[in-house]
Amino acid sequence: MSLTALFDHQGRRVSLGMELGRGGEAAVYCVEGQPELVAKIYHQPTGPEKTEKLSQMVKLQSERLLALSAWPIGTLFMAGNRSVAGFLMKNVSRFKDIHLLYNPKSRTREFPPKANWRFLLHTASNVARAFAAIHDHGHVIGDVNQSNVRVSPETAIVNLLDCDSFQISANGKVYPCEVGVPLYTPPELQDTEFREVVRTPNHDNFGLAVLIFHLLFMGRHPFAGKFLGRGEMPIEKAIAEQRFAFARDAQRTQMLPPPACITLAHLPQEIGDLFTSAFDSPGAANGRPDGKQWIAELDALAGRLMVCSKNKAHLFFNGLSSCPWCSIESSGVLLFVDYTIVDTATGFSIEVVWARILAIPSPGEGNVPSMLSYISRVQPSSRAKVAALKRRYKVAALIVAGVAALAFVVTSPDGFAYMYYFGMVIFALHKLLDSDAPAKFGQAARDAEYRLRNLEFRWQHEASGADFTAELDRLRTLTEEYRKLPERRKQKVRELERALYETQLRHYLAQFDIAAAEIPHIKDGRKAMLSAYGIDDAADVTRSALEAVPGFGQFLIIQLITWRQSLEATFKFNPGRGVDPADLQRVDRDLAKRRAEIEALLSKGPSELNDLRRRIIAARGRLQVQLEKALMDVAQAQADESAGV
Amino acid sequence: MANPLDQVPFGFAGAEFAENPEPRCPCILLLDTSGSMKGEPIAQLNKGLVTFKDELSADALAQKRVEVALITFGPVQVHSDFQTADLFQPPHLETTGDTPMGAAILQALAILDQRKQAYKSNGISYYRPWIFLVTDGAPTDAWKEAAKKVHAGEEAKALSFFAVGVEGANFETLAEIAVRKPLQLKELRFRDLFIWLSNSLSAVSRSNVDEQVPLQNPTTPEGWAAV
Repeated sequence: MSLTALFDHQGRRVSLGMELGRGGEAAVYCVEGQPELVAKIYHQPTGPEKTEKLSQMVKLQSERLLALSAWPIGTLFMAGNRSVAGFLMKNVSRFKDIHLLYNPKSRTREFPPKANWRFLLHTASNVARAFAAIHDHGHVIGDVNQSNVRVSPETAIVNLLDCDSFQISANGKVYPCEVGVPLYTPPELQDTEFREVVRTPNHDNFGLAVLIFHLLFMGRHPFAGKFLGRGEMPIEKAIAEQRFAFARDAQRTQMLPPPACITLAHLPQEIGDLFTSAFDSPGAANGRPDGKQWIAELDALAGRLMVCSKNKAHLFFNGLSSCPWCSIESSGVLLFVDYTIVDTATGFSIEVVWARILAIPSPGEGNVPSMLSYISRVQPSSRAKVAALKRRYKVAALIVAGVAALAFVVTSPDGFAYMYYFGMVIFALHKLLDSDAPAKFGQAARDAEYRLRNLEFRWQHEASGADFTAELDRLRTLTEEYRKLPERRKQKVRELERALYETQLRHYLAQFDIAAAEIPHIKDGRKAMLSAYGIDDAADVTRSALEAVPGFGQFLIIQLITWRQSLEATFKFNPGRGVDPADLQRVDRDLAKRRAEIEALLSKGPSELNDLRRRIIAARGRLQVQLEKALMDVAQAQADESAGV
Repeated sequence: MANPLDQVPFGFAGAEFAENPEPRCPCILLLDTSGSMKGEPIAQLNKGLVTFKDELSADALAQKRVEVALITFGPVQVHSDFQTADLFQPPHLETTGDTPMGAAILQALAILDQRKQAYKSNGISYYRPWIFLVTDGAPTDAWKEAAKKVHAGEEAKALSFFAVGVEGANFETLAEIAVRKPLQLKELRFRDLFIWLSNSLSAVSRSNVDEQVPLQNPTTPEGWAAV
């Protein structure tokens, strides 16, 4: 729809700015002149039901609701149309989707280093607060999902989005929530039409428990694990069948938690009990833990946290005997990054950063599977052997038949008359003993070798330690350069001092403009010529510069040099004046720029190097199998080829 | 029951899943790089792949959920195995060899099976995998078995197989391999094709694991395909 003329519910004109995002049913825009607001505009005009719902929601707005959600603040209309075109809500662009926080890979990139497990617990508790507050107001969120909850990277404050899809109760009427995402939908609502059910807070509390689980369990889903039975077990099915993957009774669920993940045993009994009653018992009837219960237990856990002695970024329940994150990270997983030291501009410590870089173990050279170990094991395939055998029989048979025929033709009186038939016989023999041609085995060998070369190239490229070494060398060079920055400044200052005399002289001479000077034989025309060649003052006057100016012969050059020398004679060197502050400033500015550059590059160093290392290790795992197979293929193809010769 | 905190060897293959346990939406690009693609077609294909990467990068959730593997033929080569969209780097493809389409499909099914095993052993849920074949010719090898397996896979809802023919492709054979009607790429609009593919994968990666997602129809007059 055209967005040119929009009005709010009080008839004031609202102008939209840039589009911020677009979804299936609406797009979100900036509002001109009101940066704290955005406008959500539907692609299609809304029906009367939705118009009424949104108008009611605007009336229901309260300070408490606005603090925790992007609640509709005002409805928007197009000129001459009574149905709602969209609504105004607060701008939550400083908040980030909760999936960027609970997923370790996103978190280490998108959230500040303080987003450790304490921050995650804190966020979980805030999510519970937001849910409880909505329920307190008599509404239900309904469509709980990973993109409708946003978190402030600074404060862990949570805001709920897409409020227009909430189930709203107003004046005794219920406006339904017509959508939902199965990953956050309780078993009793799986496979039902959302628009036909009245949602309850107990339904929401399932989604709440899933979100809290995501936050505490590094983005894992409570119903995603290793299924011990046969066939597939997608999450929706596991939810419907109540197969909580972290259940205390795995016998019943036939599910095991995924590898490299904490379990309920790493949390206080009370929290484990809450998850169990949310996921593992018939929560539809008994009632799942609500926001208030979660707040109490999560806040209690926040008071029982311990910092790992080996890694400050690791926080865990102090009832445990050892750090669960160390145990998981020792397998090459990166869950928490402690960047606090390197990220603040003032607190940059080159030694700390370099130590972190050195702490990342090299992936080593890697063992490329060797050709030799395969050649010895390989026998020519039966097809190649048969082909070779047939070929030998064929040669022998053809020779025997040929000799016999020749003998017959020569000795028999009408031998030549039979030649035609002999030809036929020999041709038939040839056909009978037809076999795979050596060329075919040769081609197979070339193809296999080509594939192997490709893989070896990829190994060099992706799996050898070369990239890691190169990256480490680059970081080492930068570190050395950084360490030498103070030395470089001293050197620059010394150079400046040495040049001080020259500089003072140059600055002194630069005060004398040629344009204003009385120089014999140098009148305005010649002055303009000099200026065109960048010779404007006495400092610019040098023999080499003048020789480049057309029309300036020895005579004129001597006039100018003499002028300069007469000025030089009046120059007094002042050693006490020291280096020109402007020159010093320039040196410092250049060095500060370089310092900032190196700090930025090195700060990213540890994580980049670690990424690289894990990419290399992963590539090795992938390529190893392919390489072994390719080597086997080549060895086989070559054996077949030589068997055939 | 094995303790999940039992020691795991360093660099174990599950690290990527522990760091990113989102459900995965695997997609295999099966690209014909036979000699006949030389010149403008391969140049447009390469540009299209760059667009594909850019488009996927715009969606933070799809970046964690969509996994791309790339196989070229011929000869059949796994150019890059499954990796999440943020790590996928568009390659610069060159034309070589003939069109062993059958072997390429079998290879795709094989790496798909491997990947599914990795998902299962790491407790990762996944969407119905996509195999996206782009060709400008006819298979130069035996393809009947591959076609049989594609049909079986579609039947069991274990995969979705899309065939796109560039001008010169043998559509009769493609129709025998794919269950869905093969699409004909208009002109060399690889860019539009890959934008469509990225959008479709984003939509799928936001849907339910079991759901059929209505895809944007690429065969409208302004779309990139014709049937």
